[in-house]
Amino acid sequence: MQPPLAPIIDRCLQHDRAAQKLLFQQYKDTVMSACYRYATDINEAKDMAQNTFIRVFHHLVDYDADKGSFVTWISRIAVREAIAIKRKNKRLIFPDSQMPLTDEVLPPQIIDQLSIAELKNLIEKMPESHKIILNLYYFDEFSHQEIAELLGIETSSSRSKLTRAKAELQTQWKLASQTGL
Amino acid sequence: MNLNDKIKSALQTSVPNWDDEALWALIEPNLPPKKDRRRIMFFWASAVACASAGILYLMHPSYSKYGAPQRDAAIEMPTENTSRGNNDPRSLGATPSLLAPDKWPATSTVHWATAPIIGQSRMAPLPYPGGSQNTDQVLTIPLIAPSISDIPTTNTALEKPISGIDGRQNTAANRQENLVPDQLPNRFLPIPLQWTLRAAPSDVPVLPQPPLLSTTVAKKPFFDLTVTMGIYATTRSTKAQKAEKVPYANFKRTHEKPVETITGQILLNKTWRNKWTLGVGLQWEQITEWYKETEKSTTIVPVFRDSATFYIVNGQYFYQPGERKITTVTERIIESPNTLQRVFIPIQVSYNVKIRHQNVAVYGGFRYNVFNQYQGIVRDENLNVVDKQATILRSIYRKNGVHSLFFGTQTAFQLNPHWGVQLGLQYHADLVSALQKEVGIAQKYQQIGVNLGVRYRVTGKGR
Repeated sequence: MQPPLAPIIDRCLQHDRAAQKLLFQQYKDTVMSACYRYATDINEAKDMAQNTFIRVFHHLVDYDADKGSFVTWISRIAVREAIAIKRKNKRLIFPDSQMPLTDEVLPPQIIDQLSIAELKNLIEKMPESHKIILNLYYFDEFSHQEIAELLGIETSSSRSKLTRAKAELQTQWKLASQTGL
Repeated sequence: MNLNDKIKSALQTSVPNWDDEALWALIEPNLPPKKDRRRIMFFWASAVACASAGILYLMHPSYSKYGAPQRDAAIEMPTENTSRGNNDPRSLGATPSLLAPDKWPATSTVHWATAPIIGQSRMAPLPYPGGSQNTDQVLTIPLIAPSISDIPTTNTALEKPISGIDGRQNTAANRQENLVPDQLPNRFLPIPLQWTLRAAPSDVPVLPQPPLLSTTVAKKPFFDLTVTMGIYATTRSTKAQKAEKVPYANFKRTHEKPVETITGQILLNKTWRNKWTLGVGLQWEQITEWYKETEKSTTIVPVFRDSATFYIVNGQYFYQPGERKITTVTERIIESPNTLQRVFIPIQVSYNVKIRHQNVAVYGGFRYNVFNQYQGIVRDENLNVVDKQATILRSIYRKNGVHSLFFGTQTAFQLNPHWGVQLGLQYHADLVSALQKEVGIAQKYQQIGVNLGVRYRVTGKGR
């Protein structure tokens, strides 16, 4: 059973090292999991997690329990730090796709047949920028406006990039179907 | 499960094993340092202890060697005693005289003196206007250190310094009165040294006051520049200025307790007739309040509906939250410091009294508030906390200035002609002036505490 969060946060606000470490222990897996989804490898994920916790402890006073849970707050910070590191390392490059923009999605019967493991394989084969868009939109549930602010792009551009990512997913599925993989 | 849910599940990854302790070791040095109040208190306690030790040292009766300012000695110099019949070399009334070395008596008593005297070991005999003296005399001869070997050591005994002799022979006034150009010494003593000889009854000519010089001539103080720091216990009172317009006029800020005030001040002082001093400068102070409140908040927490979807991916448990929500009330203790920084222009008048080697002053004055900065909790008119760490900068011109009166006492010690230290006890009381009518709740602080500082004396030419 985890200790109550509020007293820990209060002690962290007083820069109590023991409380800070307790908070780190409680949320390290959440942060690492969020960071690893955006990282290329575990070392990059560690860098992201390190920056996340430093930012969390410096801005803990800004946390407002009325606006949401702590895990949501810290996860959002982790995602923002991950994207910041990606942008800093200039690894967030969106290719100029020649793929036409379409709202076509996978047919429902195909979706039913598609297992999560198969879908995971398809996503793994996609470019990193598309995976990031999918993560931001589907997993972390950022709005297009938030994605646009995070990536420094227009909102419309965020929508088009998501559409291209889904189209890429369909292409990968078709490719896999044709090759029988 | 639709495509969105499947994509979300597929994006979920499992993190390989990693060393969390190593990561914490990287994070910890970058965290903000802990505010250790005990260390701050220890610092101030040490400062006060050092100051007290210094005061006790300076007040000790044996303190007369270098601590007493030259100028002070000149002020306290008694009238020269020209008596020549005193046989006691320790007598404060003994007339310092110069004796030609070749006339030194066989039985002489040599004293170490402490005053910074410059002289020479061998001087030509000077005519004594009063003729020979046949009495047992106490004679003082200024010497230079390398010439100690020239002193006849037969029947000579060293004695400890005699307190008070230096005060008579080392004053600028005394030296300059007796200065004869032909008798100027050709060498100087780096360390003050003086020999006092007790002459045996003989036909020894007793010479007039020896020529003495000083490398430092006391100069007239022009003004003093003081830099002080202080720590004050603080209390606050509030007063409703516009009760009919401010709904929270009677609000007592019980959650915010003033803790302490720290100050830093630079002051320019000009003294007249060694009694009255007018000072003006700039003072900064930071008042720290400790805010502590139990905050009750109502939160809406989503719970799972019976129809919520649960699934497992890669051994991890996921769910699709439902729509039902419950309301919970949580209590949370909020503690944080609020700080108020204020800048004043202080104007003070002091009355100085000299007690032994100390300058004791009683002073009072007025502080004109020119700038305020508050950082901390900000409430709206319904007393709700709207910001927990807001920063409000405010330049005070005519309205809203919280000016104050102050008075106190201080003790200053002059370590050398330029530098001195001072320790004081001071009281501040804010004024809620007529200019504060626009303020809903006027608050004023009272502070009492100690300050410690250094003083630099800028001297002009002349005595």
